[in-house]
Amino acid sequence: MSTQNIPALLHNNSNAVTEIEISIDAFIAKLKRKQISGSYVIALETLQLLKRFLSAARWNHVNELIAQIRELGNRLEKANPTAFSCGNVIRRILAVLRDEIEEDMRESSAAQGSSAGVGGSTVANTAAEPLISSMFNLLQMPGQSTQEFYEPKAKTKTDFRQVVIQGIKDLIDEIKNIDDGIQQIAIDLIHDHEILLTPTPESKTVLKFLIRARERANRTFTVLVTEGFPNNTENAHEFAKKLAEHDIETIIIPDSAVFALMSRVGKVIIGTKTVFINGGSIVSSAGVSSVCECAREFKTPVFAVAGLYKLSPLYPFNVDKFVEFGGSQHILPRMDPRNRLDTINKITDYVPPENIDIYITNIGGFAPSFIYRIAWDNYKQTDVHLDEKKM
Amino acid sequence: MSETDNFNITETYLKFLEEDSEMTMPIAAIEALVTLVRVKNPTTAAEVINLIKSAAQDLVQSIPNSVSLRAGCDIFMRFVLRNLHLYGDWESTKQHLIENGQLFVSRAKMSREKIAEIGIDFISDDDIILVHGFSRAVASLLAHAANNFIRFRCIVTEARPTSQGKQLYEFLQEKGIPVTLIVDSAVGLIIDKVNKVFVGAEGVAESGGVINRVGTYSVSVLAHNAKKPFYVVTESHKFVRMFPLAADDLPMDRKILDFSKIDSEASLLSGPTIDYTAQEYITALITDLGVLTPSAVSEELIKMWYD
Amino acid sequence: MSETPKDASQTANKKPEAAAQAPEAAKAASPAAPAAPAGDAGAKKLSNKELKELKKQEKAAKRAAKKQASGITVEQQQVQAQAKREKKQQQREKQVQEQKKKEEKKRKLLDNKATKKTSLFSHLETTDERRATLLAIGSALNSPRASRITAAGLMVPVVASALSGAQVYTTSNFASELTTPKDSSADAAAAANTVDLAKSLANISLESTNETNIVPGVSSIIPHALEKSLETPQLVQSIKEMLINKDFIHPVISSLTFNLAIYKIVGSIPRCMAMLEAFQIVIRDYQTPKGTTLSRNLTNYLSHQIDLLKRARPLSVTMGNAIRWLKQEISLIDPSTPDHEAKKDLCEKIGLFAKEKIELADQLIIENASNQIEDGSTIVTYGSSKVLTDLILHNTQVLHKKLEVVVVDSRPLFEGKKMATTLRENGVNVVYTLITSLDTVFNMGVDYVFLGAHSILSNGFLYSRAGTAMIAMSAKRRNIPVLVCCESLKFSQRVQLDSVTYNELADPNDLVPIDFESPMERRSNKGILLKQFVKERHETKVQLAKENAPKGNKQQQQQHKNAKDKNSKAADASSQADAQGDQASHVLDDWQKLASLNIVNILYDLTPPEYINKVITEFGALPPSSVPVILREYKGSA
Repeated sequence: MSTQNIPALLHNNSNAVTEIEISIDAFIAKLKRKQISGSYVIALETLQLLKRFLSAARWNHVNELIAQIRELGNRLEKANPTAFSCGNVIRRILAVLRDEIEEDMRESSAAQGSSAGVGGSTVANTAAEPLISSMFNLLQMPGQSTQEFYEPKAKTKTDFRQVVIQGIKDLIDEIKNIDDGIQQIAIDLIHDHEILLTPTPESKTVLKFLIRARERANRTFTVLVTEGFPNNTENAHEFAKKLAEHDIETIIIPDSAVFALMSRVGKVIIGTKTVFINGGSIVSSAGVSSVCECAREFKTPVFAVAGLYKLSPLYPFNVDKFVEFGGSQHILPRMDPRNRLDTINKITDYVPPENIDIYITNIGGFAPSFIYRIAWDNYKQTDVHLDEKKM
Repeated sequence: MSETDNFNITETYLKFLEEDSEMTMPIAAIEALVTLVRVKNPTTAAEVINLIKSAAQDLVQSIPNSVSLRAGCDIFMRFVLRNLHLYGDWESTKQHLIENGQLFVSRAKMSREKIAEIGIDFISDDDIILVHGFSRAVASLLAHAANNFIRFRCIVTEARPTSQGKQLYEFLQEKGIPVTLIVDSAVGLIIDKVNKVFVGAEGVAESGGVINRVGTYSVSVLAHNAKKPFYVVTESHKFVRMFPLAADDLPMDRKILDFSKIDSEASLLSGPTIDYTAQEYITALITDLGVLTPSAVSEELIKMWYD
Repeated sequence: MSETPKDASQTANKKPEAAAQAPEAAKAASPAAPAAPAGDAGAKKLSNKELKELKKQEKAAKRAAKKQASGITVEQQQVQAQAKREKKQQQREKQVQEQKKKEEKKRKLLDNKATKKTSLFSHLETTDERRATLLAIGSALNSPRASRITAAGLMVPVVASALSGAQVYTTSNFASELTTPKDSSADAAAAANTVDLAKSLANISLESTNETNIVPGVSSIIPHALEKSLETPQLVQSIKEMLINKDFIHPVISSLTFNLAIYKIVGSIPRCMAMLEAFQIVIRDYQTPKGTTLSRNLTNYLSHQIDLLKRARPLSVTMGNAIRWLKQEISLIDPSTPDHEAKKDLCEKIGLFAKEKIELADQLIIENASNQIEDGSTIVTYGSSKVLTDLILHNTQVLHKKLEVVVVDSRPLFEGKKMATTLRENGVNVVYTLITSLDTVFNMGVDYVFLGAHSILSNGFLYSRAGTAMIAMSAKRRNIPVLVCCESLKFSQRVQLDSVTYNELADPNDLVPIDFESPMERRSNKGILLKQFVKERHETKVQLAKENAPKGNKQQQQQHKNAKDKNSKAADASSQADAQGDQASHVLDDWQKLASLNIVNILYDLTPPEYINKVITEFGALPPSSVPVILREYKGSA
């Protein structure tokens, strides 16, 4: 990995840069070996790393900075393609940066009295060909793509490093306070004496929300917890125990009993690992897609809780690429070597958008069909594929 | 100026379509309107608006299948209105329109390339793809996928009564894609073997439902029933401000049902050529704006009209 | 749960208070009765005072036991003895009631050790309840002394010891029976074998009963079972009733009952076969009492056997159908037929019934279903089914079709493992997976889903192992045909609309350990109950040590306790080492203590007919809606 130098290194050999290289490599190694897990932790660590990266980075033009951040994001994504929150936060920061650049551009162009703004478009056109982001573009004025942007202009007024670091700080704050926002909305979605089912016991967000609904909102309700055998059973048991300790009526059920009990369930709550732009999501517990399918069959509402940072601008074309599989030893620990059985051990699961009714995020509740909008509010289309060389 | 007097919007429109086989109806409509503006050369805002309005109305009324050209008229109208509003600078807008007539055409073609670029991820090796009717967007997407060495097979419906399917069949054969032609009534027979369905669109309604060649609705219902993804491949300039609830709400050149006349076999079999497919049967729309859920269509339209 | 959540939440902090209140409760109660709550729920919070009290009670109990044991047996009740006993019983029942009230109060503060019932399934019998009855009866069958006392007045402390004795019986049962041949294939010889075994086990249990008597009613292995027996009078009643009739019970049946209860024999067809075989032996050994005829009395006699079988697990539909058929056959016997002839006739008929309804039916089903399976197809099955295993083997080995089989399995029984291994050993391509990976399974290009059945209800619903419905639903949603192979013996007259109203609850503790062994394997491997016993004992000790530590003045007491502990420790030394060696602790080991935590382990679910494309029976393939037709047309012959 270290041979793959980021452009900045060509210009600068200071100690800070090599130091940051080392910590990047360490983080990449951790991602690769899956020593770090949980989107929350990964998101925060990525941001911390990015912060250090920025303080060490050197650039002549802000476009170089963008290229460097993209490069970093690409490396992290390659290291573990299923650690989505990594790429998500980097894209978020890129979006912040691009917005700032645009702002800066507009100011400077206004100052120069340029006539570039006739079309009235507010789209940041950084690509060589105008990025069509509205059906209106068909008729837009030519020459609106912002060539001058590429001209290495004299230093702009804005201190981009400061902007990005502030952006990172804001994002860290947001991620840390995500539960509050979610809880406010989610509590209103359950009523007294309701029976809830959650197939994602590893989700801290779900846990906190349920406890809060019990303690602060003082609702009494019953929670059914599926076991997610074999990879998640321990989590499920701990989850159930914690709920029970907070005086929430909790029932552990084996994964096979979901259909039998679904007719009694009022709502299904799932925690998510990543929400894709089509409104589908990856959850870090196998069997959830079947549970949601069951819920759909019984017309039981399914609501997913997800922090904004879990939104990913990717489209799950090939679900198998995003779903993780584990080794067979978790399913058949003692296997006769002569008569080896093939096994499937799913670790994560993909829930298609049609089986989710609503997403509760820290900024509000959204139907899956609207998720794309929220994603484009926070990401730039140019940054969807970080591995592409074009900017 | 004889040109001014003799100008006929419908003829211009048809001429554009004829001259360039790659041109779609909405673009031809826009081109025709641009020509109109150039020829008539209106000077005041009110004049401009009235001129375009009446011309668009003429056009819609004189062309039997008006859905997608209506989309073009809508966009043009909206564009003119907005620029008049925002800048009050009609002259420069007009200048821009007239000068860049060709640009719109090339952009429209570009948007098909863009669709092909975006949509290629939807096609994977060993897929069997059902296509209903002929659509340039679908054809270019399939060709693009084949050029990128994705090995897939196609089933093309005949798409009566226009029998455009044959056209697509030949096109795909030419591109070296394994393809077979079936009659429309055989869709139910093969739907289980199909991995996904692609159709084009004449127009995309505000609900996200599509107006397309007759038969699309039946195919979509079959696909929905068989749990097969149903994708609409279309350029975003085909989004149209209509909200039909059923086929009855569509502008039809003839009655959907006609019990009165039976004179020849031909008239017996020729019914309306379009139908309406509601959004719940559509998995996603592959457009130049990206992959949209049906509900995103109304957002685009809202953005355009209420900005 | 009946408690208010607040109270339960306070349990943890109120332990000292609870301990303070306990003596009051004990004082108020009679000398004999209160040992029970002290024995289990209270055991861990005993203060020295209580211990003293307890000992007193125990002595009293023993005296009472002796008195009763000296003269009276349950069956030959002499008027005098009865009067005396009834008086005592009345007294005791009154005390028990009083005790119960106290108990209620206490329960709110104490850890809730009673059998837990989920609000959803409170209408169903829990395993603990079943086990309580079973243990009581089991002990009664094997140790006459204990039974007498129990029947006499349900004197709780002694029942406790009787129960623990019985527990040892069952535990040893698991271990020693490992070597015995499989029951489902048992012929008369094998059955005789089990009878012998039962006898030898009876001896063991007697010994252990004596041994555990040293440890006074404290900390029985299944304390909640005990408490439950105090709580539900119906249960007590039923135990009493069964005990009264205990002499009627044939040893084959009691051995079968235990095998069923520990899931050694599972599957509705094997259970039915085992029962029919046992009945053959029962009928062979049956002697018509004087003054009655076989056709009248045998049914009655069998009812006693069936009553016991019911206590193991609810009867399967197949068993119910077979019993109904058998009773009808018996009633048709001409009273003039000599007994030995009638018995021989019946035994033959039973054999024929099994052959016709099960073996031949399976063959017809396999023949029919084979037509459906195309060469080179992928088949998904769930759990384990005899007829499906045979079907696949028939198709691959006899018809030489190339099949890919996906066996989906689930916790806690892991029945599919057996099926997958059997198929694999016979060279079939098998993918084994768990129900959590269902989504992936159905993306693999599956051609058919074949399901086994426990029963098909007359409204067309399929009643089968929990998880079946989910598979059928997923398949249906993906347009994959779902076929059910089911003998008509499994057709039931019952109608049911969802899986909650009628179901069978299995032991929730089976879900506590997180590993890949079925409860059956687990028990036979490690003797988990023994370990549980050891653990509870250990906890008690720790608790006691803690509480006694500050008040060092009553050393004697403690020493006594320690001695007792040593005693039991010595007894379980080996198993304890074993326990600590390889039983990892689980998150939920002490789930019973959390008032609001429940584990539901249901065995069956109900698949709606719209998910099922075809039901293949020996009468041919039919849609699920035709089940009542078959029931009407053929019930006469069945």
